[in-house]
Amino acid sequence: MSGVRYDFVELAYGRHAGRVEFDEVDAPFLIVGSNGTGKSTIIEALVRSLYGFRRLRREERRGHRRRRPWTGAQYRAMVGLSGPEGSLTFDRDFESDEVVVRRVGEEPPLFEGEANLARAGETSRRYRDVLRRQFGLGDLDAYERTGCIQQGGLIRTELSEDLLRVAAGGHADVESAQRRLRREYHDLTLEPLAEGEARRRKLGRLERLQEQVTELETRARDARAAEERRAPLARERDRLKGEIAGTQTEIEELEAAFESVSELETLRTAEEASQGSVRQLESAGHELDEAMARFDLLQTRDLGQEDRVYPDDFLGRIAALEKGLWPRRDRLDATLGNLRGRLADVAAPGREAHMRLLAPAAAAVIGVWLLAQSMTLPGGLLLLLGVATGAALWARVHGLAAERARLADELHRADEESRDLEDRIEALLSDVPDGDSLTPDTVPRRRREFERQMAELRQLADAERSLRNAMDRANRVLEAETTAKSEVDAEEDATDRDPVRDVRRTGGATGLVDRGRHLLKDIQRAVSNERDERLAPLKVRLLEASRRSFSLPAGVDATGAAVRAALQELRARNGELQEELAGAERRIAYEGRPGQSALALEREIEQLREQLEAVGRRAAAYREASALITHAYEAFRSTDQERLLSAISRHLAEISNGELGPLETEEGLETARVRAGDRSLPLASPPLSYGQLHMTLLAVRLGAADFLAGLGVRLPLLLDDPFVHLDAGRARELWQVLANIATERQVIVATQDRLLIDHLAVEPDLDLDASHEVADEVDPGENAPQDMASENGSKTGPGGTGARRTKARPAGARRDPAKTAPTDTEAASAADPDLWSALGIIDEEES
Amino acid sequence: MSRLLHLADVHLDAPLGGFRREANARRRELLDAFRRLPDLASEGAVHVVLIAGDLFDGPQPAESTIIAVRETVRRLVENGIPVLAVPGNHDAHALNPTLYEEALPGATAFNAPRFESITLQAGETPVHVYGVAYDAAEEPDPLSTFEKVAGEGFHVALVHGAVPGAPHWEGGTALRLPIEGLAALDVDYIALGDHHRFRPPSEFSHEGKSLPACYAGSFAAVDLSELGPKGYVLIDLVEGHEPAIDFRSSGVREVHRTEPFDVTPFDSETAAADALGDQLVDSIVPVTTLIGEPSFPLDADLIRAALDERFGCSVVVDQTRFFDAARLEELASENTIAGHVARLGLERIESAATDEARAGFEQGLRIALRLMEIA
Repeated sequence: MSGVRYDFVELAYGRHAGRVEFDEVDAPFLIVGSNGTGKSTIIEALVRSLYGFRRLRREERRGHRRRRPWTGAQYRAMVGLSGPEGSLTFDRDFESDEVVVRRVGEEPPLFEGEANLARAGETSRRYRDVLRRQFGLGDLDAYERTGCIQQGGLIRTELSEDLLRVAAGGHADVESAQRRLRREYHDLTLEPLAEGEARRRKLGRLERLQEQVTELETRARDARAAEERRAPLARERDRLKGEIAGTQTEIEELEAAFESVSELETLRTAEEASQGSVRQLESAGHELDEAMARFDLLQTRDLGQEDRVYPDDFLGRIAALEKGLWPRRDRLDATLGNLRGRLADVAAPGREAHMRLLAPAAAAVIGVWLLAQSMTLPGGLLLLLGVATGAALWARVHGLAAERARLADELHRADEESRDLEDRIEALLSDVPDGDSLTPDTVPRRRREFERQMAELRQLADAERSLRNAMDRANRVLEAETTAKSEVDAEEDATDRDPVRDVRRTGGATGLVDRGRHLLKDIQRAVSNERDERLAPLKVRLLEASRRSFSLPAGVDATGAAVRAALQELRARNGELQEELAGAERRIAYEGRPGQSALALEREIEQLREQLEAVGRRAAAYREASALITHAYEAFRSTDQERLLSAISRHLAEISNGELGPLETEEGLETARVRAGDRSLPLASPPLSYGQLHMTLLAVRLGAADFLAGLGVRLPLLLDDPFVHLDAGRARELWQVLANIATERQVIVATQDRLLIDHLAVEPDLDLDASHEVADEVDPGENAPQDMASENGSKTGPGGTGARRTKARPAGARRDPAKTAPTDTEAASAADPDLWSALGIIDEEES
Repeated sequence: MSRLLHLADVHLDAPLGGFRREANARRRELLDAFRRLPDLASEGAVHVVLIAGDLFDGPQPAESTIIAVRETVRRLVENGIPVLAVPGNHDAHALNPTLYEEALPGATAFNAPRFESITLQAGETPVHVYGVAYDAAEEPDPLSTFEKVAGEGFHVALVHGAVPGAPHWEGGTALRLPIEGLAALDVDYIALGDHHRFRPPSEFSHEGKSLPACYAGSFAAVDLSELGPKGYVLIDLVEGHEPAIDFRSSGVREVHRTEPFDVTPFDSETAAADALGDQLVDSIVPVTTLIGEPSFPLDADLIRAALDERFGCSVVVDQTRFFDAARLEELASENTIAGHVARLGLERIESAATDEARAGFEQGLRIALRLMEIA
């Protein structure tokens, strides 16, 4: 027998605890037991130890809970499985879903870890790989659709595409692969995976990358455009900066040249000034020298002459004398003579004159008396005559006296006037040399003398003024050109001086000349100093400076003014350029600066495009994968469908002894019909009888398993109560079919039908009825023992799986009874107590 | 003797998108490496630092980057090490004329489109450095503007441009540098930038003689295609001798091509990635070629994802031959859908007209078998 086979199962599962070994014989392994003895539990344990429970499903979660060992032992099962990978054991802890897979007699384990096939992790994937390599199917559904018929499972058999997919591949569900493929593909892109599909809305990596590329391309375009706009502006700015730098350089050159030029100019100016100073000093010295010489000469000449000094107003005085005083004196002298003559002519009235008054007075007194004598007339006439005569006489005497007095007075006044005049004349002549001798006759001579004297004095004064001027100038020159202070009194201002008076007042110019001489020496010393200490070094410096090189822009003269003008012009130009530069800066700022260069963006785009291409290639690979799977599946489906139907039909014909079959379909398996005689009937009851349907579904399972075997996946067949609904003849046919299959693959059959067993004349390999009375097919739930006891009318605990019987079997179906051990406690104690004890089977009380 | 430090193509602030999620960390790593320049220069007794363009990846780097560069240059200058630089094509002078002035205070930036020169004292010897900022609109042939100054000392040209065969020689915006043009410069050393691969003078020859030109290469790999150590060059100029070139790593993690890795012994991507990762040092960005005949439909992307987790970034090139694997042959012999998938896939692979198509078909086959959980 080839293919995969169960060697044993060692379990603490539901009511069972112990080990069952499956002999390697070319006949079905038959497990017999009444209802509730645990046949189905053993069948299930074989499957679950490999595949576990998918506890995310509610039903499986309940099944997992039900199969917890009643004894409270560790919830586990270990299955020995021989197959392509050799003899392996799968030891599963149902609580943790941890599985250890070992090759018999070898360490370390081939696999160790959580083996939850509902998960998609790496560990589960590795376990599935191990399982698939050894068992052929990595999926429990696939097993339950083909080689595994658990209790009540047959009726759920469907002849559909799913079965074909399972049967045709011996691999995980193609649909599942396609779903995963689709999911992974649409992580990459929203494009349809196959023609006719709609585009997804959710963007994949490809589209997101494309968006990034598009965005970057836009940015790169903008950056390039900005660069193109900015480049000329930047160049303009550069040009301006260059020009500014050039202008600045020229300015600096000019400033440097200006220093040299200025130095030269300064030196030259200083030289000229020095020379000017020398000249001025020399000129002042010369002038002073001349002034001194002239002054000295005049002074000497004056000093040698007569000391006759006319007053300055001598001419005025002469004019006053000639035109007023002298003629007036003459006239006054004449008047005085006249008055004196006249006075002499007017005699003074004497006694005689006065005596003459006595007569009128006596007449008047007589007249008064007469009047008093009442001789009015005579008296009056006499009085009047006396008065009149007396008055006339009085008047005459008095007139003479008055005349004389007047003349005396006039004489007196004339005399006073004459004296005053003489005083004035004397005053006028008081400081006139030889004033006494000054007469109108001498006036012309004296006037000439005076004029000569004045001319000489003016010459001297001029000489003195010249000298003072020369000294002042010399002082100024000295003050201006040297630090030495002149001894000349600076307070004296030559312009305010009267040289004639100064000459007269000083009474000589010896001091002045001395000072002039000192000053002249100072000047000579200053000239010497200027020449030696200033002019000569200046000439040296000038020579050095003129030898120093400096450059000037073309067209600019090497003069301070020219350089200054050029500088001014350049600075103005520089200012204009600065303004232009500011304008260019503003224009550039207006254009904005790209954050990244177009080059950098293009490189980024290039990298993204590479990623885009990689994702695109991967998406294409997914499309290729999808096409491969789809094409392969489609190619296989039609031929596999025929082959599957053929295998099913063959088994159906065998089981029904030719009554049913073959199966036919014009489209898919879902529409397959079974031929019954002349009729073609759907796979349903009615129109098929229940027995016919049972036979058909059995045939479907066996055919699918055969089909898998034909593909190299030679699964052990598990059949729980396959004979139900079959009559004895059909049951025999089925047994024969199973026996035939068992020559190639392991077949494990469980049944409760002892009559049928007897009819078939076969012995059970495992008899679970030997001693126990408790069914294990009911849901134990949380109080399972009580429930099971109640259902079976017994209070005994979980029973063992009975004793083996050694009944005769058909030829070729014998096996070594010793290799199969019961797992039920009571059966163990009945058949071989020591063995069960050694296996650790727990008795009823313990459970 | 004068010792120069020549670097180029630092590309500060580059997005480094090729490094995927590692990009930010790598940008920081790159800037940190540049910050170490003053220490490297001092330790190396360097007289002059030459930056041959593309110091920045773009004309408008982040302000923080400029600050870091300013400080670095300031420290160099403060240490008495003059810095001379020319802009590149990424940070071209025309795009941001003030960038180098702002970012390199105290340094000499050659910003003119025609050659300019400056004379420095490098050690005991004067060095005349010539630089040019390429601007085709201003001066299409800047090499023709070179004028060698008279005087004792070494003459060094600093240029950013592409020589024949370099990536930007064709179609780029960089200055094209014909070999004869470089030879005509007649200088003691030509510090080049633009090509991201270190190219010593032995790779430059003219009329049978090698030129004293050198590309320092990029300071650090800016994408995953730039393999091997990256950094800078120390040059010793000795009178009467060829320049002595000493390449030094910048210390930024290099993109390192590993030995081809045979995945044949492994039964999953995880196992293969674990074994591969254990073979590699952590301080690299691995570029690995997978070879062998895997017993499962290997998905190189899963191995790359695992390596990315460990190394931050990686490149995995799949050259495995699953279609030659015995397991595939066995599978193809089975009369199953998977077998038929294998057969169909193999047929398509064999009928592929191009290697690219062949690779696509093989990847499709692998994906199909992986999803069908065929091992």
